[in-house]
Amino acid sequence: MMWPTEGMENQRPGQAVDAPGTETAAAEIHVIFTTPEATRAALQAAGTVAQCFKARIHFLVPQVVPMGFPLTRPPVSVAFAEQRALGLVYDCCITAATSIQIVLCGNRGQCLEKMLRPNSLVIIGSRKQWWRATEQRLARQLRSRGHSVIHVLE
Amino acid sequence: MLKETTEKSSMAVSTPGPRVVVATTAMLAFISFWQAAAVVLNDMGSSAFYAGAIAEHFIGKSAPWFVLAIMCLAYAVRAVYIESCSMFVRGGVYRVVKEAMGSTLAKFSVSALMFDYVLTGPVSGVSAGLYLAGLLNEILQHFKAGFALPMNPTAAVFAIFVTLYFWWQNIKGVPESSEKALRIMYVTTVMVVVMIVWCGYTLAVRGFHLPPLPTLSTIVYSHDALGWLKHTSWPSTIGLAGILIGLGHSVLAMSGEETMAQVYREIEHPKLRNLERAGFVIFVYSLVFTVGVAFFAVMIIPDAVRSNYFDNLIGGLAMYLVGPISLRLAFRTFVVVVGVLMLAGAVNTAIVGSNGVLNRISEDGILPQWFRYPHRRFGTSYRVLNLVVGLQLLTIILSQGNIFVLGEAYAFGVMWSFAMKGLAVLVLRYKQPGEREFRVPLNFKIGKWEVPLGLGLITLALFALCLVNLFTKPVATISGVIFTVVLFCAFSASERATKREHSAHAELDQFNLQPGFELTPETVGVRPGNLLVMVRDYNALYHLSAILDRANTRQKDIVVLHLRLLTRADSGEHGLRAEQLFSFKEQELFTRALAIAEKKGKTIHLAVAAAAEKWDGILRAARSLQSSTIILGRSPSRSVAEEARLAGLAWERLPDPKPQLTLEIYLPSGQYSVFYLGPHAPQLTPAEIGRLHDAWLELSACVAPLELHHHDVVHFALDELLSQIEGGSREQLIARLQKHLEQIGRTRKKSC
Repeated sequence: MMWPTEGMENQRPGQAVDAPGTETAAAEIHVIFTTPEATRAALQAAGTVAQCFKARIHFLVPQVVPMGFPLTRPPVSVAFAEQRALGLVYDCCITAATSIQIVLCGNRGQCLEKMLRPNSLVIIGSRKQWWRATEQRLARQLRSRGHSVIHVLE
Repeated sequence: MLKETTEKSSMAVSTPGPRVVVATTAMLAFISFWQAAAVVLNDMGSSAFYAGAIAEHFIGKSAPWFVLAIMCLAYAVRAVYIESCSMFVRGGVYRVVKEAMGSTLAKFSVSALMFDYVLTGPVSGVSAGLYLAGLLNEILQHFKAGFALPMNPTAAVFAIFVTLYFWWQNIKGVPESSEKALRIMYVTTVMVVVMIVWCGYTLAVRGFHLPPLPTLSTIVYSHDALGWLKHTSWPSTIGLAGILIGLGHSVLAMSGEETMAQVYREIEHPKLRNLERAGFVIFVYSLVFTVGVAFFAVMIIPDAVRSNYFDNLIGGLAMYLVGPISLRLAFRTFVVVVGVLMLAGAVNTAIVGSNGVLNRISEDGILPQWFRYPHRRFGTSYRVLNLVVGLQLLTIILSQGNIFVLGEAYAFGVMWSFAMKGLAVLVLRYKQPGEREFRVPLNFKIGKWEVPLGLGLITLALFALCLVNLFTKPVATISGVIFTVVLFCAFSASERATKREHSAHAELDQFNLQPGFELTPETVGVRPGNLLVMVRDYNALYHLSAILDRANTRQKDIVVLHLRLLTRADSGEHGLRAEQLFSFKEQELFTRALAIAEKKGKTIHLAVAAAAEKWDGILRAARSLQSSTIILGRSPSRSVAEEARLAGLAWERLPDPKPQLTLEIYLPSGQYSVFYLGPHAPQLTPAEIGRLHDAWLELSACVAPLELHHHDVVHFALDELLSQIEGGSREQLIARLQKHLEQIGRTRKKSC
């Protein structure tokens, strides 16, 4: 992780997310990875909303690592998760500035609790099912914590 | 809930369209000892569904006493695991045996452990299937259906189905969380409470006899209980042999201990204390559940029919409680639901556990990298999963759903991995003597030699059971030895083949960079008032360790910052490459920092910053992060006082508003000096306070009735001092100050 201290100009070329000052001004939409298909639907919805409100998209991918594995060496390769997330963003032809964050964690709920700022706007995609899907439970959990959640069906 | 954050990789992708930044972060959430106990119990408690019945099948009605003894031994073995965890945060069998006795025996141990994992899935799946088939047959009989499902084949089919289900889940990379384990344990606890209350009521109504105490006359061996000892007289003439054989057939009750080593990494601070608590909870719970089932079954189910329920003992117990049949059937259904949840969970744990172990040894170069090749669609190590699940399916098919054969074989893997672990911890007492946070009790010294009596007895007991099982369980011995030897040879051969390709840095966590424009509490994810720990040398992280001991991370976050000092050549107009920004040294540094934080069970937040000058960079970082305290180790080139002086000078150069900061400089001995940067109330000695008070006494009488406070005296004295400096007596004052400081220095030396 690289944070140059004030006054230092040493970022890698093309590394900055946005021009200084614009990052905090723009609104942020959080999209949470669920399944590839459902997430595609969520990203498309986020793209449309982001275009209307000139918002940035923060694509959060919580990657739960089971206990038998070291946290930093999960069973699903990190490179794979990054490529998959990037592929989803490109597939949706999103025009808004997007940051993807893969979070290796032991528990998805706790991870999102820490990663989302209070009162965030969150978009979650899920499959159409007759029973209450995990994503619906997650949406309910996030709403109870004060976030605004848009639930998108794939 | 504590959180440990390690920022990881990033890649910035520049395209003609939007800019997309990909960053990877690792966030470890520590769990309470209750959750840790739930995770272990999910694995260990599942054995309650079959362990008592298998033991009684082999040794008769006195089996519950053996199960009770095994649970006590399990508590002792837990102490061995706690001691190994106090030495290694990731202290599984492989790691501990490798440290103690080298790679060859580690490979042998891991082969036994793999045999254990390969058997855990089938034994749990088949047991779940037997419970389900038993219930279905009971319902069919209740409704006079006229036919019954064949128990073993139905159980085998069910086990295959469950194994395939979890194989697919693991291929997709859907893991189980500790919260789910806790929920399963809630449901199980309801079942256990209902069972105890109902069984207690039944015994009160019907009266009871305790199972016979184990003696040579009460141990009734089944035809397949003695194996190669069948034709000797030892089992029925030598008491100890009988006891060991009985215990050998009951060891399944203590399977699942290895999960403790896995769960330790996740336990919150104080880690070892919480592990001990979790160990005690596990002991009490499994004692009540596993031993309770074994005792109640003998006391409640009539002898004539009990053997019919050996494959679903709790189901049988439910059917012989007092009460209407509909209620008993409902309870039995509940038992089956809980059993299927727990046992199916154990199938998944076995797949995840073996996947973890094989990945770990693949990283060590013992298995070729080929096994870790990610799945094209899901990114998981599907070849390892295919291998493990293939072996499990083969085991189910070969056993044809016979729980006794599976149980026998399972005991081989369980016992040998425990015995090797015990031996390794014993060897480490001599190989790595010194202080440990926890030691297995009963230690005394003869001269300078330590005699670890407790640890020695436990290891001896484990090896004795291994040896007895070798002779009494031919199927387990043959299959276990073949499996272990084949796996050991495969590991050895593949290790030689992959030795050249083995990277020296395989142990390092693969941290990379996440770019951030500014170092702020929000970007790092910490609260203002945090503690900023500067790290530089991965061999000198004593100050991080000390602050982790002292700090309460629920109140103050800890940021571990490495400041990369840029030379003029570095800070030119060309951007730095990733490998320049995040070198091997920094990976090693952060890997070790993370290991210390894991060991202490406390959160740290890692960051790298660049600066042209050390103190300028540190103070700017502290200001940006709104830190309250800067912590660092002793400089190899400067004295503590000199370092503090430089920090003070750099602080003066900071643009306004300057933050108030505390600087703590640690020595390797654990001592530390505190300095306050910026205006701050001085820490006065008692002598200085006394002098201030004398001056106040003298002056307050003179200025009465005007009110004079101590701080007025200080204020006035300072004004006078400054006016004298400005009034032309500066040189004399400085000369007197120097004389004063020299005098104080001499006094300090004398007192030292």
